[in-house]
Amino acid sequence: MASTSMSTPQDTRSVPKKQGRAMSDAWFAVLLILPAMIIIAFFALYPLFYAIEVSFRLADLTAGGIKGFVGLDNYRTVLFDKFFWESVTTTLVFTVVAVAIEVLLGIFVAFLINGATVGKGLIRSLLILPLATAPAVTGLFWRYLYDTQFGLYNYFLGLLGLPQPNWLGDINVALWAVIVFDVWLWMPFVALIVLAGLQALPKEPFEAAELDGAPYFRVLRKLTFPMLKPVLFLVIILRTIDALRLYDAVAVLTRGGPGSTTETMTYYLYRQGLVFFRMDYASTMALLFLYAVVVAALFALKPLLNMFGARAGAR
Amino acid sequence: MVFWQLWEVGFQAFMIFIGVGIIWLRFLEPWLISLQMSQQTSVTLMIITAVGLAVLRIVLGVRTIRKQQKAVQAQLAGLSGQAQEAK
Amino acid sequence: MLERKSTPFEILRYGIILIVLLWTVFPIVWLILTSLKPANDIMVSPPRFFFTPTLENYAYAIGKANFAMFIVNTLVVSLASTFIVVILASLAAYSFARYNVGQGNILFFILTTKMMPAIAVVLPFFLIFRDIGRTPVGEALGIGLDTRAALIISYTIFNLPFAIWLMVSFFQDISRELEESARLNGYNRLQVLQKVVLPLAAPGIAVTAIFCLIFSWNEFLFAYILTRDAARTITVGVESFFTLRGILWGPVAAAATISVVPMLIFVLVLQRYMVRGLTFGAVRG
Repeated sequence: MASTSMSTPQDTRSVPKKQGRAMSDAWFAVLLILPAMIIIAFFALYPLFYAIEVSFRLADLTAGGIKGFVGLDNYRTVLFDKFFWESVTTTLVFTVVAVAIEVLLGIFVAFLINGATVGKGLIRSLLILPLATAPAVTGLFWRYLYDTQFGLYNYFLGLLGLPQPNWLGDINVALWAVIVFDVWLWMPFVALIVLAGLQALPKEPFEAAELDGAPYFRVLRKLTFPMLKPVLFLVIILRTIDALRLYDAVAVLTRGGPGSTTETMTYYLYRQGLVFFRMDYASTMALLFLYAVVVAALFALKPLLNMFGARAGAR
Repeated sequence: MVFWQLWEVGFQAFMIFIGVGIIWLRFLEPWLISLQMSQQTSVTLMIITAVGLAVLRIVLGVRTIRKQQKAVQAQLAGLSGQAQEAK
Repeated sequence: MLERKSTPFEILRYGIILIVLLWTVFPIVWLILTSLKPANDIMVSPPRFFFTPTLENYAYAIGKANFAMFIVNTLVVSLASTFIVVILASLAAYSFARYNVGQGNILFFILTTKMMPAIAVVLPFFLIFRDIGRTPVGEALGIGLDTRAALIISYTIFNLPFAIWLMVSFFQDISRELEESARLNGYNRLQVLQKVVLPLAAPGIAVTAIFCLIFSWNEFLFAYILTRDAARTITVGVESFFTLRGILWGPVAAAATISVVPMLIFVLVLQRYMVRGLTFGAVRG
C-alpha cells in the first residue's frame, strides 16, 4: 500500500456531527448511484412497459400497427406455439452441450497451462484473442471456413481421412457447427478464468499434501476442486446466461436453418418481431423469457448478492 | 432494512402470481375447457388462485420478518442489560 | 500427473497446448490471409496457402463501401460511450461497494437487466429514437435514428450494468482503513473518493474501460437496427458485401480484418490487465 502523505486540507465544509453524518452517508450513497440508476431505470423500464402493453394487444405491424386489447390471447398463442417450444428445446440443448464442452475442455487446458514452466504469458495473450473479436464478424467468416467446397475445415478433415460433413446444410450437423464456433470463442475464456483461479490458490495445503505423499487424484478431489468451487460456479453461471441468449452466431452462420434446427429462442423472437413484424408475439415471448431469467436469477444470484452485501458491510 | 426484506417478499409473491398464471394458461385451462367450463370462469379461477398463493407468500414472509425482528430486539435488550450490569 | 515434470509428459503437455493454441488462433490468421488474397485465390478448392498478396480487397472495401466513415463512426461511438460509462459506473459501483445501497436488491435489478436479450429491447429503442428524432429538441441535439448519439446512448445503457458489476469488486478490495484515516484527517467524502479511492482503483477502472470499449466496438444488433447510412459501424458494414450476386469473400475478409485487428492489437498490448479483470469477480469475489 502506498503511503499517502495527508496534510489536513482546509475544510470547505465543517465536519458534521456523528448523527448528521449517519444521515448524510445514506444520501451520499444514493446521490452516487443516481445518474447511473436514472439511465438504467428509464431505458430498462420503458421497453418493459412497452412490451407489457403490446403483449395484451393485437400488433401486426404489417397490418396497420398496434390495435385493440385482446387480453391473454397472445400468451395462449405463444404458450401453445410448436415452434416456440422447439426453439426452447434447441436453446436448452445448445446451452447444455456447449457449456459442458467449454467448461470441461477449459478446465483441462487450465490445468495443462498451470503446470507449464515457460510461455504462460504468451499462451494467455493468444487465448484471449477470440474474445476480442466480434462474433457477428468472425461468425460470418466461419461460413467460409465451413464451406463444403472452399472451406478450410473440410479440407483438413479430408487430409486426416475423416468425414467431411455439410456443416451448415445438414440438419443433423448444423447445430454442431454453431456449438463448435461457440466452443472456439469461449473455451479460452473458461480456461483463463480457471487458470487464474488455480494460480490464486494458496500453496501451503498442496505442499503439506505432497509431504504426506498424497496421491494425485486424491489431492484433486479433496483439495483442488473444493477450493476451485466458487470459480467454477461463477464461470458456469456466466457461460450459461450467455449461452441461453445466443443470437449473433445463429444470425450470422445459419440464420436459424436449415429449417429451424438452429433456431434459438432469441432468434425466433427476432423472426417474429423483425421479420414477420408480429410485435405482439415478440413482446409476449420477450416477457416470458424475462420471467424465466428473473426466476433463475432469484435462485442463483440472490444468495450470491447477499454474500456480497455481507462482505461490503464487514469490510 | 425491514423495507428491503418486505420488498423481497413482495417481489417473490409477484413472481408466484405470474408463475401461477403461466402454468394455468398452459396446462389447466385446456383441461378445464374440455370440461365445458367457459374461458371467463377459468380466468377468474386463475386470478383467484394466483392472488391467493401470492398473499400466502406475503403473510408467511411478514410472519418470518416479525419473528426475526423480535429476536434481534431480544438480543439488543440482552446486550444492554449486560452493559448495565457491567457498570 | 498433469503437474509432474517428467520429460515425456512435458512434451505431451506442450504438444496439446500447441494444438489448442493453433486451433484458437488459426481462424483469425486465415481471415487476415484471406483479406490479402486476390479473388481468384479465395474461391478455390483445395485452399491455397501460397499466393501473392494484394491490397485490392481493402481498396474495394474503403472505396466502394464508404468504409472510412464506418471506421470513424465506430471509433467515436465506442470511445464516447466508454467514457460516459466509466464515470457513471465508478460512482455507482463505489456506492454499492462501500454503502451497500439497497441491500443487494438494486444491484440485483441492475444485473437482471444485463441478462435480457438485446432483441427484446431493440424495437422499443428504435421507436424511442425515432420519436425523439422527430422533435425539435432531438434534431437540435443530433439524437434520433441513424445518429451517432443514439448509438452512444444505447451502448452506455448496454454497458453500464456490466461495468458496475465489474467495478464493485475492485472497490471492495480497497482497504477501508485508508479511507477512514483520510476522513479523520478532515477530508470530506467527495475528497476521499477523489484523492484516495480513485487512484487506488485506477487499474480496475482501466480494465472496465477496456472491456466496455471492446463490447462497443464489436456490437452488432443495435448498430444494425438503429442505423442506416450516416452512423453505420464497422461490424454492420462487414455484411454489406453480401450481394445478390453472391458473397464477395475478399472484401468481406478485408472488412472483417479492419474490424478485428484493432481490437486484437489493443488486447495483446493490454493483455495483462484484461486477465486481471476477467478473474477479479471470480477469484477474489
